[in-house]
Amino acid sequence: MKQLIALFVLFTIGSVSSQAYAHQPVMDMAPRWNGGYGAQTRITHANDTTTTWVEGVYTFKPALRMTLKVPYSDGKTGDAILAMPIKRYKNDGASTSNWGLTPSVRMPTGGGSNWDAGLSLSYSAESKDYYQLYDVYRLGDTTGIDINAGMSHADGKGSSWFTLWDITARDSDSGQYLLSGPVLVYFKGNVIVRGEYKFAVHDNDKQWDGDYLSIGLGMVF
Amino acid sequence: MRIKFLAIPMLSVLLLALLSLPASAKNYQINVNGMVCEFCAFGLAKKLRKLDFIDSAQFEDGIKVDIENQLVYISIQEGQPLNQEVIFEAIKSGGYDPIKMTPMDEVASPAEVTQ
Repeated sequence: MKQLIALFVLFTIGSVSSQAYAHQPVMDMAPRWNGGYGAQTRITHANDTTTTWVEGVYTFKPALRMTLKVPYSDGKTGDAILAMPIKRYKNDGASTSNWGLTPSVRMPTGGGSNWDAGLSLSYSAESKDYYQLYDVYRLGDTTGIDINAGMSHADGKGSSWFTLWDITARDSDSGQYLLSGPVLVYFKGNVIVRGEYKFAVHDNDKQWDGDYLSIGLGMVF
Repeated sequence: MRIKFLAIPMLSVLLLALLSLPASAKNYQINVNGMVCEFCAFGLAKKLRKLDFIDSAQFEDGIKVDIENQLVYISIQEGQPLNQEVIFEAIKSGGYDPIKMTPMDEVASPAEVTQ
């Protein structure tokens, strides 16, 4: 029954479906438990365009997840990305880390006819005091590197703050750009709120112009 | 007469020993490797709360998570047998590695945990 609900979440949001940040994990840390699932929505603003991302994740087991991301902007559904993160966790006493290999496919749900394949290699580690994520990927004609690193602050009553710094680099047929800026993440129970602002450090990309803003809200079950 | 004289203290010692066995403990502390994130521990607690021998009247629905020290406190219903294998399997399916389980009366008082 739970799996049916999760598949319903994943494929219902598929019916509502740009580029940019499509490869990134849906809530990297969770759900890491067997049969866990979650959904989140993110509103991003970049290049004078506001995009709403509806994203879902289902965890078959800690080592295997399935994610779906669907963008919606200017009244149109964009190309959805289906991915299957494969993770290898290492739990030490006071820290946990994982290597991830994520094959993905971008589907032409936005009206085109092109299918794009992608592959990402990532590493993340966290303790009760810090969090770090490194991700290298290729999706379609875009190669990217993302780094998130910073401090975490738990209150011991079920909620935490993460104050991170993000570095985002992209190289594609249209050029290159480098963004950087702060990320703030708040957890309470099974709810996650994430906000980030990145400014352009370097922009030599004909299709990129300016800064990037993102606000997201998600839940896991 | 001599046998009866010896039997009474021996039975008393045996009874006291039975009462002090770890199996009589109701609350346990579990060391869990890697449990450092409240958000991630949500699933672990969820898995443990589903076990039918958990005493949900204790702690927070039977479970308390301490990510500062990578500890989980678990309360077992009175009269229920302790099944460590099932508990450890639930923790593993929550994405973490259990290390050891210790009766609470050997490590801390419930009052210290709930504070």
